[in-house]
Amino acid sequence: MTNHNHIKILSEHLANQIAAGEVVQRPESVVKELVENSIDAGAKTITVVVKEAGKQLIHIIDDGKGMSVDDLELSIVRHATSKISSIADLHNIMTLGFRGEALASVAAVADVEIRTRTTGAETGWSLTSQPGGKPELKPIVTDVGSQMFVRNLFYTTPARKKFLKSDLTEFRHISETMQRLALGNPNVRFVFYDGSNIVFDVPVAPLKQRIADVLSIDPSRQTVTVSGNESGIQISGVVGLPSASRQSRSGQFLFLNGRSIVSRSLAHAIASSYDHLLDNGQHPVFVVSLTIDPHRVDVNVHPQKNEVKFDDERAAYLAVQHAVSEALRNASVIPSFLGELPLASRPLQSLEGTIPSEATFVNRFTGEILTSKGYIQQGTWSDRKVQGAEWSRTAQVGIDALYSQSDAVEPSQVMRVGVEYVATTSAEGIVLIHKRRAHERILYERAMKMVGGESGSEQAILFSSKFSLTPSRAILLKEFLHEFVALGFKIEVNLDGTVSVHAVPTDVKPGTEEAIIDEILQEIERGGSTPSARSKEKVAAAYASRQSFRKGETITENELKSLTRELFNCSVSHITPKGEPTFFIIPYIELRGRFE
Amino acid sequence: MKFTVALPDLHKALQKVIPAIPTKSTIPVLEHVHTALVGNELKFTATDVEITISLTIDVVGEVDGAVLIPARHFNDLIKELGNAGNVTVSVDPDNWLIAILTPSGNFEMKGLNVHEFPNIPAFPESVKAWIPKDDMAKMANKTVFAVSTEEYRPSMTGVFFQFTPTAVTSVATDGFRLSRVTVAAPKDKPFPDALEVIVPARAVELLRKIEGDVDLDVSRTHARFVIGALTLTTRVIDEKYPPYQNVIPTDNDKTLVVNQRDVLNAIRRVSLFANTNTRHVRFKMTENKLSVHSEDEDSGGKGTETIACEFSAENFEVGFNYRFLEEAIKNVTTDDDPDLNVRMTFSTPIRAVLITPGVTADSLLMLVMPVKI
Repeated sequence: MTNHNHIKILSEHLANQIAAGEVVQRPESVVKELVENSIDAGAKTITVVVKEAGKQLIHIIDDGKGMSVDDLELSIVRHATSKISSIADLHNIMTLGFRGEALASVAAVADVEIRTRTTGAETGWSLTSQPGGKPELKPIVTDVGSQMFVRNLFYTTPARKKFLKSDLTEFRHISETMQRLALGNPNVRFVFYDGSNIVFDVPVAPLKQRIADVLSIDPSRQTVTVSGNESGIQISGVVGLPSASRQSRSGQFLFLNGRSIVSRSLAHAIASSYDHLLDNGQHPVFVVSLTIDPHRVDVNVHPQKNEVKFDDERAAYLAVQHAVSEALRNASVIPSFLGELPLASRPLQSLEGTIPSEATFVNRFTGEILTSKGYIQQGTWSDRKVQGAEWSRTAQVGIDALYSQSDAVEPSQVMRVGVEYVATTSAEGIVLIHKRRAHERILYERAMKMVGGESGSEQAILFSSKFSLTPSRAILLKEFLHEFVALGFKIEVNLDGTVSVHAVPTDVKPGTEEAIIDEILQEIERGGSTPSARSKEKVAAAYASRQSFRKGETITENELKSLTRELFNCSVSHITPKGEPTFFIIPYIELRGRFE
Repeated sequence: MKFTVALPDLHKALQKVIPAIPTKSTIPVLEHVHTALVGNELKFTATDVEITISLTIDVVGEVDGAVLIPARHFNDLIKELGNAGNVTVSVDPDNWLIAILTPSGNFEMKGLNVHEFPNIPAFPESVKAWIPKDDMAKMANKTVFAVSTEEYRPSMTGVFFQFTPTAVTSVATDGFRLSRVTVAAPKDKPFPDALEVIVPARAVELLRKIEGDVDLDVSRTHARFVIGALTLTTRVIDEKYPPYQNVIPTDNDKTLVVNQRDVLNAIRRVSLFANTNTRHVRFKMTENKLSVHSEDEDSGGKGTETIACEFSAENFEVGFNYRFLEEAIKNVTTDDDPDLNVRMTFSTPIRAVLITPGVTADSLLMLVMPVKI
């Protein structure tokens, strides 16, 4: 008994099942495809319920425009889509889904039920389908919008089902996707349930607030708004300050024309803007979206549609890097000491403590008090005349604070607070400075200047010290010798691993050479390997950390003053190289509140 | 215990023992001065465990006895009483209440039983040396500024005294500069051979203004300076002193001779424009001109002064920490003679610079390590 005809045309159903694998890899893909459909349908509220990590049930409810009965019938047919009809359209993709594959693919591997009604239609329709079977249509009563039930995913393809990970992992994937969708669409309310437990319910909100809701970070203290427009790429979003950084990349989200994307290159561009602000192993949090002419990107690279190709990868990289760097630089909220440059560049100062929606500003040149409402209504600041009665008490406090010290040009009074802190005043309030961290920041910037080419001065020492290092540290020292020399060390590493020191940077205390060198190396070691381009930062940071004031070390009044002055002359003054805050401000308004 | 003493005598005596009273001690009893009367001799003893000072003065004694008097409190009162008249101090041994009768009032303070005072052991077996007053003061004055204040190298936190039968050399260094003062032994009283001791800077500081010749006793652990009625005992630093002879250059080939006062004034003015962190000042020498220059990139200030000098080479440039340089030049001579010259010798911009008085005399020598700018 022989049958030589081994090759057969696959049945359409089988072909669909195979192709479906490309789109529907795991429950998360179903959620993503279906929610994107809902978004494309103009939904304002999307509710997602998953059971057993979506293996048992994925239920999506939206209030979008719904489908007519004809559309419904076609919806589970492969390449049926309402979104493109010609090749030209393919290049103008601004909707999220476009291949017309999603529903068909899902229907090939799971039981699907769709209930939908369009606005104005008297009845809704339901469609029930089983893999390989003929879909059934019947009229039902339902709300405007669509509901999808995807049950028993992959039950007809046991091999694929076997490849699914534990419920926990699969649920994590779904959850990440839901976060991504929520972040990408702040104008849609998302409600997300795991069984009967609510995971999140985020109302429509500005992006900053949405980020705060989804990633649970403090939007006003821990994030900075990014915006930029370069090489035709519009960039907007929010990045976290170093204090909000995480041990993993879990807080990183990129969007392109509203679609969530994965781009190692762009993620790197953002991370590189943080430069030395983050420790090794720390990853910034960001939600950045790019808007670009759809012709200039190819999103059809991967069926998952989250990898993209730019016509000019480099331009995109630079544009993102610039925008983020700029935002971070501006975020170093330097307290404005009157008379200094920031006054000229920031004539309008928001008075803290006012409600954000009715923020109060003071024009620091004219003394005018303005509310943002007034600004918006009147268009310009000068239109609004300040009348006594309108001076909110809040504003009065701020203005008093401003002008009570009008001839101060720099932090004039500096006071020791305990052993660790220094207090001074600025136009905004009381500035509390962490002594050691401030010192670390100053030393770091000084060290960076030196390793950056402006070599430090070597103080020659009378008794050159000789000591030995462990072989691995000796090798490390050789590797970083150039940076050590730039700081002002004069070091010889001998073949037997001993080290001779003949000169030290001027602020190194005699007798401490060995300890300092060893500790810097230790710190470098702890940081793990880094690209050689970062070695300067590394040595500078280790040096700063080692040389900064010890806890309890006392310094003179003058040293406190120059510490304060130098801190605010730093290019980044608000955090240490490790990302710890160096100072904070207690606004006058808060003080006033406490006395009421 | 009861005695009467002239105010100026008491005031002076307290000034001398107070330095041994710790400012804030974990052992409150040390904030007291041990006061003992035997006949007409009143002996004060103060200690912070490291340094002990005792001083005997003449008083009019009535009742012998001993008590611990709160030192600062007592001193504050005596200071305020001025220099006219006598005070009578009497102590009630039942409750250690100290009554002080002054020309215009009477005061009472609470004393303590002397049994609470730490035992001061007898001075052990020792090697002795006799140092004339001026020589001791000179050695103390000219070295102590260069002592290291860092605890990392304990040996450098003191002044090293090295005796040979014919001379004593005192050395202080903090690793960046070094000061060495040598004085010859008095003709009739040779020094002991091979006596070496490191005396903590605090004790040396107290030897700068002494009123008499010094009988020195050195044991393995302590040094005792007896100056008339005053005895200063200090723990010594039991460490090996760094090999300072090796770092004194012998081959510096360029010599600068310059008026001490001129160069100091130039450094003082120019250094006002130096960066306060790095304290750099630069010497630029030609055959007959020395220019002293400083600048601070951070503030944008700079300053230069040019003064006449004699220089043995053509052109040479070297940088310093101005504080080290100023202290070394200031201390290289003993008298404040406006015509005095200092001699500085150089080899390369990173080797030690030698500073000596203009006239050749190797009794005083300063070393300053330059800064490569």
